Amino acid sequence: MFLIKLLNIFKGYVVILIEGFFIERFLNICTRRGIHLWNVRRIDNTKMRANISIQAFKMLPPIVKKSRCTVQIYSRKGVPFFVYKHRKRKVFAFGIIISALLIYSMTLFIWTVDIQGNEKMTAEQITVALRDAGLKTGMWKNNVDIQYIQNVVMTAQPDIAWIGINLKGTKVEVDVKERAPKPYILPKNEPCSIIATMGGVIEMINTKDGHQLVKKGDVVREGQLLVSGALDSKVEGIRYVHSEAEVLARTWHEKTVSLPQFEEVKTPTGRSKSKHSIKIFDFSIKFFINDRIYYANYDRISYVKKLTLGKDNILPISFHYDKFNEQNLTQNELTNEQAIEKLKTEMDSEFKDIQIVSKKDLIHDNKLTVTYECIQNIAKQQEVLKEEANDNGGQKP
Amino acid sequence: MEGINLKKKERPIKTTKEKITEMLDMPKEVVLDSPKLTIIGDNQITIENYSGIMEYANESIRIKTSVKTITIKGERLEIRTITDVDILIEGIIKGIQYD
Repeated sequence: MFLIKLLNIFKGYVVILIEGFFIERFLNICTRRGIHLWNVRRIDNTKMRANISIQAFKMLPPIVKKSRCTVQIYSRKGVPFFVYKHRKRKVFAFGIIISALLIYSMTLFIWTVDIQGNEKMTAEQITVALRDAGLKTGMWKNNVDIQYIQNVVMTAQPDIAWIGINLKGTKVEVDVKERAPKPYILPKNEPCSIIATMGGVIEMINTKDGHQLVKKGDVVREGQLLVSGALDSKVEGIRYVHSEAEVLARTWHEKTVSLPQFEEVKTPTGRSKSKHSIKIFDFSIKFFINDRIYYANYDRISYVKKLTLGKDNILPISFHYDKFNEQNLTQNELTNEQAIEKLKTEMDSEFKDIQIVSKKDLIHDNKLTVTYECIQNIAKQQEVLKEEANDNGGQKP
Repeated sequence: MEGINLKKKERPIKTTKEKITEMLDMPKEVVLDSPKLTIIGDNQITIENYSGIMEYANESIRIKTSVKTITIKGERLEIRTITDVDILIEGIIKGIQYD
């Protein structure tokens, strides 16, 4: 429907007033001759208003005669009439063309760079890297050599594994994939032994290579040698191997905090201040006089609306809405149950990677202690020092 | 019992021609040139295959079709578009009557 309306406006139409006693007859003749009418409205017994296209309007005189009606033009609408009306206003036409050209030329530049996928690197770092490679806001779209920029950034930045650049209207979408840090792996031919990263009780030990020094149920301390890389035999003497083992141990972690616990609560006072501004390129027009905020504590709500043509053509004009809501800060005392609950969520997130078997909480002397019993991997490879190997490897269990 | 027998024979609901088109799965409104009404909610009605407008006022519109005359009653009725095959009426529709 909207498209038809738009088409009618471009082609132009006439609103006509039909007067007579046989208006139905007029309608019937019109339809039989293939004349399309729309928005037909009865005004009173003898009058009717209808819309008709310009070409069809020229076909009306014989119909008017036949149906014994009179037809008056009520109003003319659409582009052809508008152009005809303003045909002598050259400056006006010039202005329309100039503004159309200006808007078009604005879309030939890059106005925003959208960076996605970065986790460790900041957006600024990537922006700088892109600028060094030759991509920055305000440059001409045709000058962007995507392939070249991608290559330059990928070779210049060791932390970026892959970069994808997409041009969408005046927006550049940059997709970054960061390189994961290389895990430290001792080479296979390097002799090593295995030590404990944490104290605990051995739950399971599975030695693939090396000399096992502890067994299930043994209590180990942090840094203790679990599997030795030095094999001692009477025939060959001391031989060094690359030991490999999987060691699971039962460990205990303890967290203590003092009670009572407080929680900060924000309550809005109802007072607020707004600061709005328009930004054109890097120049901003402010709609406020005083820059300072006198509130001790406040929440800032910012909202930026960018002027766009369609979805992807972002123009360098943006509206900034800022609102400052004053807040009262109060400290609420938590009950013991609430404190335990709050701490639990904090601690649980800390022990995310390991398996928690059980937890116990204890309130004693205004202190809350939570004990976690976990099962975790405590094996860590360490290069064998020849002297050390002599000390430990020589022992026989 | 006699009274019933004397009564004029009732008109069948479907003619033979209609039954055949139904059997052959053909669109009735095309083959038989009968009107097709589409009503959306209580404010829009489209009539296809009409033959002419008999009366047009704000409260009632009478439209001639090959079968019967259809009277649409309502408030502030307006002809949104009109071509030689269909007519779209908008307004608050209160009743549709065949006579």
